[in-house]
Amino acid sequence: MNAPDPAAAPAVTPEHALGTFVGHVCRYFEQIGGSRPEMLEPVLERRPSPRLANTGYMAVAGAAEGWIALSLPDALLHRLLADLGETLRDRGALLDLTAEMAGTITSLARAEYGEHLRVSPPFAIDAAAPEPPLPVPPVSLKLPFRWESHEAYLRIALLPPPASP
Amino acid sequence: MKLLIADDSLIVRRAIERNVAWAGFGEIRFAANGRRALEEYRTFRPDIVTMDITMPEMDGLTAVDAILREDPAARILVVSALADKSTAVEAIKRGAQGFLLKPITPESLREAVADLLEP
Amino acid sequence: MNPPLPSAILESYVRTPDFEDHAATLELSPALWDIFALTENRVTAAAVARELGIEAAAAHLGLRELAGHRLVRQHVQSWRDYRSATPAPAARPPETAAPVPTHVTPVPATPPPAPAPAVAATPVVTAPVAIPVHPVAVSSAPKEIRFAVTPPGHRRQAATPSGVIRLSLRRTTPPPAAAVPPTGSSASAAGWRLRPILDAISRHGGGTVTGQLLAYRVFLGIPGELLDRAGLYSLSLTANDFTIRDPEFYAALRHSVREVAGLELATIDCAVEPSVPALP
Repeated sequence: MNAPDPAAAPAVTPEHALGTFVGHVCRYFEQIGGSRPEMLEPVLERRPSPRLANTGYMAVAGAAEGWIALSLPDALLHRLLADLGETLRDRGALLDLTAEMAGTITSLARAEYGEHLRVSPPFAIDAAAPEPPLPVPPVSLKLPFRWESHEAYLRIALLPPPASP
Repeated sequence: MKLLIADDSLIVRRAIERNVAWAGFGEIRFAANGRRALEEYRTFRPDIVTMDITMPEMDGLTAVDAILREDPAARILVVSALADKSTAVEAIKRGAQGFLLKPITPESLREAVADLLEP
Repeated sequence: MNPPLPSAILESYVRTPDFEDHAATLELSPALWDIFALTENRVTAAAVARELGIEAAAAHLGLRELAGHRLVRQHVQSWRDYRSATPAPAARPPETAAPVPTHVTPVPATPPPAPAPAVAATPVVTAPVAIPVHPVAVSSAPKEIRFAVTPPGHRRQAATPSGVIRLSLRRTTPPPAAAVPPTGSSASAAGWRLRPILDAISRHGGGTVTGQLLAYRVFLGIPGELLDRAGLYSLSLTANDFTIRDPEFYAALRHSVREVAGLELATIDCAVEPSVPALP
């Protein structure tokens, strides 16, 4: 993917570029599951709290540098799989759907802010997997949400801006 | 009738398979990446291909190019989460006959496949 | 004489305020529940080990695992809170007073506890769940962010640097300090409430998610050591009662608010009144 040319398009704030991920997550649940999630109390965390059973990671660069994670419990994915008419429930199916969700959200975000935000293809891991080779931010923003009584969260993990001279 | 479903997600492949049962495809095959889709096309010669754009090894648009070079009459339905007009236009320019947005709903898939099957 | 305990085993833990919500959905080993049952009051790993007759290191690991499940958290206090909670030592009697003769059975002086040696935190190792995996070799992270999509049915095993200690403790912000008279004549010397600052940043950023993201970017501009010093390990953006006491922290926040959000902290009404009611 070519690097975005900042001069080619009007400036966009990192908040708007990143906020699009939250919007797409909500629309995904609405389209597949029939209802939007309720966003809960956002929390800044010095050390990320443990991830849930299934987590999709999306690395970003450009307007913001870091990664975004979508962490989902098994029960939520079971419900989505049921809504899709899918009968598989093994870990492979859960991680597959997690990666598919992350991929869909990534593509939508790239389509909306691709000029300003490079988003790498996502990957999904379970709770027992080792930490992925991603930079550890000094602080991350956890955006919990509740969908049909299941709690999950988005985590925004950005690298701090370079120190000003 | 034969259908080839190309998508790196097992869940999506199965969802498409379930939601085209009404069309009466006699045989359905699957591919998890663009390269495999091209190989399957050569041996299977399906009537319709559903092709995800973002796949590893060979992305969907490249696979569309390769398949149409070998068979200009191939009927390909591009499936993608990319909502921008340019991607849809690009897919059609390369010869795809239809464009379907993810997340796929049974209704949108039925409509898109039905359009392709029309004589 | 018993060897001195590592300082980590003397750290105390308390239950999290919302432990019941987490406990309702958890299935843990009976041994872990035994440890959790002892956390009704503040407890140390050393005390748990004594009570259950297990190794101190095992008790410590158990408490860390419970913290990872958000059932407990480390008990932390600011120096000010600790001082206000600890009774002042009795005043030394005046030297001119004549000593009162008493008949006292001499008691052998208890030697002061030896200073705890610097011990690295015990790595928390989580036993992996036994699930069938198809390991896919992953190269080390390149400079450019590039990750392959996980093919269906495959798992990625990402390499982790050796010796990395993954701490899963979740700490909440320390409770607000008890009423402390300001050191200077200005009311703002008592501190600065963080919540009005966060609200102002969020409003400036457009509210809801974009505002929260702007607040996050502001905090990214504050050095991590200042966050640690302030005990800010976990901070709600919308429902916190944290008061900034550290002038250095305030200065760093002021700089970041200006640089990132384009706001002047001085225009935000956040000064702490001289008498801050103690909140539960």
